[in-house]
Amino acid sequence: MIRYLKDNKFIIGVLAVTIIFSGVTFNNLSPFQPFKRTLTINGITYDFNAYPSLNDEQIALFNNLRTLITSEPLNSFDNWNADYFIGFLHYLFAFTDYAMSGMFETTPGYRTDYYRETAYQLIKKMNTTVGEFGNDSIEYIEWGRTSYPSYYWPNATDPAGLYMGGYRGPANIMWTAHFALMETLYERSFNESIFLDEIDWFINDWNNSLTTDGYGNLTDGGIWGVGLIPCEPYIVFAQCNSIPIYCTELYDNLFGTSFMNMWDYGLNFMNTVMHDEYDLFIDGYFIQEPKGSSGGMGSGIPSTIPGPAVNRYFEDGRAAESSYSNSWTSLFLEFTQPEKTVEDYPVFLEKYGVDVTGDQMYISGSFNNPSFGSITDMLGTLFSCVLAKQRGDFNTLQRIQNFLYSQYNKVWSENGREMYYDTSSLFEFLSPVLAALRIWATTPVTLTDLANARPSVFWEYPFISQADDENIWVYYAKWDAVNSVFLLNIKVDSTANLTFSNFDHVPVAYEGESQVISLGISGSDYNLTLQPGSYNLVVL
Amino acid sequence: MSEQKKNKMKKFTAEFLLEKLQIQSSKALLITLLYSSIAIVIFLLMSLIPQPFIMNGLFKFGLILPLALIPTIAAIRGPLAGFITGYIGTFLFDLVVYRVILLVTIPYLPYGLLGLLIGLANYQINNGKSLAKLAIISTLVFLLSVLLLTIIGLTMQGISILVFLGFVVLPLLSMGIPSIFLLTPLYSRLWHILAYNAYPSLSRLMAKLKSREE
Repeated sequence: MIRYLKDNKFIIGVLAVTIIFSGVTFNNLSPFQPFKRTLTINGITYDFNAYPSLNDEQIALFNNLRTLITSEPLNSFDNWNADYFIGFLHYLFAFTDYAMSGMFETTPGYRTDYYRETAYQLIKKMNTTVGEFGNDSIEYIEWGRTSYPSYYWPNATDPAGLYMGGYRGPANIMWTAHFALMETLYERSFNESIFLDEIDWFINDWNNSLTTDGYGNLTDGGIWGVGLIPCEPYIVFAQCNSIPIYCTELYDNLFGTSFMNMWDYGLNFMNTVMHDEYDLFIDGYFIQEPKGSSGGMGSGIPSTIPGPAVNRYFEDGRAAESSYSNSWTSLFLEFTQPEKTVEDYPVFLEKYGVDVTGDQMYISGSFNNPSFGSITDMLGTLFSCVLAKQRGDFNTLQRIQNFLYSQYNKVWSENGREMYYDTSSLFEFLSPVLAALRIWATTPVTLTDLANARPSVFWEYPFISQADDENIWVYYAKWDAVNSVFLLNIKVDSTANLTFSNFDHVPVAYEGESQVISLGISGSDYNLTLQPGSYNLVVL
Repeated sequence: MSEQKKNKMKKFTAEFLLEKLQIQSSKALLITLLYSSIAIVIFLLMSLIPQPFIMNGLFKFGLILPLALIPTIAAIRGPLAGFITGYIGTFLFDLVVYRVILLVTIPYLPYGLLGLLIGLANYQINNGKSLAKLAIISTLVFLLSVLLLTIIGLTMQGISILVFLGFVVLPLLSMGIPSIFLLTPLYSRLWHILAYNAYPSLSRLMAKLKSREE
C-alpha cells in the first residue's frame, strides 16, 4: 500500500487536490425540474410532463422579491439598493409585476393571498405620492424632482397653453402606462374590481389625448399630432407607448370595449415615421423644444422640431436607435401587430446581437455605437431575453441567459425558500433586476398570452384559495375544464394544508389509480392536508 | 550537401512528421481518426453536463470537464488527434447545441492548437514524472491558446474589450488552468488503467468464462 502510494504520489496528490477543488467550487447548479409523472385516473391519462410548470429557482426568486416588496413600508425603497439608479425604480416595479403575472398565469388555480398581496403591495409602492409621503415617493422620484411639472403645450413656458405637467397625465406615459398596466394585470389575475375606476380613468384620458386637441375637439393625431403620448413631456418613444397600447388591448379583451382605435394614428406613425433604414424603431421623436435637459436614454435634439431624436455621437443627423427600444417595443406590440415583430426580430438580432462565444451572446445597446457596459446595453440584453422567449427562439434566449447569469453566485436562504443573484461585485441594484427578468424570461407564459382575458367561467372553476404558502412549492395548479379535474404539481416542505374553493361536491385527490387522499369539509370549502414530499395530484 | 543526402533528409523529415502525427500508415491514420472521433463524442457528452462554479469577486472558479480531454487525447494519440478533438469538438458543440458557427470557425482554432502543440511531445502515461510534465506543458500551451483566442476575439469578432476579458478570458483562465492542470493527468491515468489493466483483465476473464463453458 505504502509502496503504491509512493509510486503514484503525483497522481494521488492531483486526485486529492481535484476532489477538494471540486468540493469548494460545487455551486450554482442549474435549477432542478419538479417531479413529474403520468397518471391514469378513470381511464383518462394526465401527463404532468406536458403541463408547462414553474421550477424551484423561479419560485425562490419570487419569494425573495416578495420579501423585498413586503418587508419594508410603502414609502421605503432601501431594499432595492437603487441609490445610483433611483430613476429606474418605477420601471423595475412595473417589469417585476409583468414577470410575476406570467408566474400567476402558470399556476392560475393557486390564488391565495401569497401572490395577490405581493402584486397589490407592488402597485401601492408604485403609486406612492408626494401628497402622502413627500419626497419618499415614486411621484417625487419619477416626476417631482424634475422640471417637468411646469410644462405647457405648445409652448413649454407659456401657462396659457395646455398644462402637461401632471404626474398622472396627460404627458407622463412612462409612469401612467406602467401603473395602469400593473392594475389591469392585477384585475386579470385576481378579478377583484378594486382598480377598475382608476384604469377607466387612464383609458379615457389616453383616448382624450390621442383623439382630441385636449380640449375635447376631435383632432387627428391628438394633442401632439403624432397619435402617441410623450414622456419627458416633449418627446415620444415607441417603447413607452407600446405599454398603453398593450394595456388598451388587454382592457378591451377584459371588458369587451373597443378603445384600440385610438392607437391607429400612433401605430401608423410609429411604423412609418419612427423608423430607421432597417425598418426598426428609432429611439425617440421630439414633438416640442425641450426645456432643461433633453432627457431620454441617449437621444440628441434634432435641428428641426418636430423630428426624430438624433444620435449624439454622430454629426450627420442620423436617428437615435437602441436595442432596448426595439426589443421592448417588439415585445409589447407583438399581440397588436404580430407580423411586424416576426419580420423585425431576425433583423434586430442581426443588427444588435454580438456573439461572445458559442454559448454566450449579448445585445449591443446601439448598432451605431456597438459596445457593452452602459445601461442601454444591459436593458437591450435583458428585454431581448423576454422577446426571444416570446418568439420561441430558445436558442438565443439560452445564450443571452448564459451571458447574463454566468457571473454571479446564486445565494439561497438558510431554509432554502429564497434565492437571489449576488451582484455585489458589480452593483447591488442589478440583483432584483436579474431576479425579475429571470422569472420573466423563463416562465412558460408570454405577454401575448397575457393580453387575452380569462373566460368569464374561469372564476367559477375550483381553485386553491388558502394554503400554508410558506411550506409549499406550487409548480402547476390549474383546473382542466375538459376533464373537470384540478391538476396540481406541488412539493411540500413540511405538513401543509390547502383549501379548495368552488367545488360543488366533496372532491377526492388521486396520487395514482388507487392512491386516494380524502379532503376535509370546511363550510363550502374543502381542505387537503399533505405531508412532506412531491405530489402530482388529480383532484376530482 | 549532396542531392542524395538532401532527399534522405527530406524523407526522414516526412517520415518523422507522419509518425509524429500518427498517420504513418493507413492503419495508423484510421486509429488516429477513431481516437479523435471517440474523443469528440465524449467531449460533446461532457460539455452537456452543467458545470458547477463559484464566483469570488470577479473571478470564477470551477472545473471545465471537457477541456482537459483535448490535451489528454493529444498525449495519448498525438498532435493530429489533439487538434481534431479541440477544433472539431468545440466547433461541433456550438453547432449542435447552440446552432452557431463563430467567424467561419476561426475562434475554435486555439483549441485545436492546444491539442496540436501538446501532442508534439512524448509522454509515458504510466509514469508520474511524465504526467507532471504533461500537466505543466498542457498548462503552458493552454495559456498560449488563450492568448491566441484573445487576439482573435479582440481583432476579428468585434466584441467589447471589457466583455471579452471579463466573460471569456478571465473565466477561461481561472477555470481552465486548474482544469487542464488537474484533470489532464487524471484522465490520462484513467485511460491507461482502462486500456492496459481493465481491458486486458476483462478479456482474460471473458476467455476464462468461455473456456469453462466449453
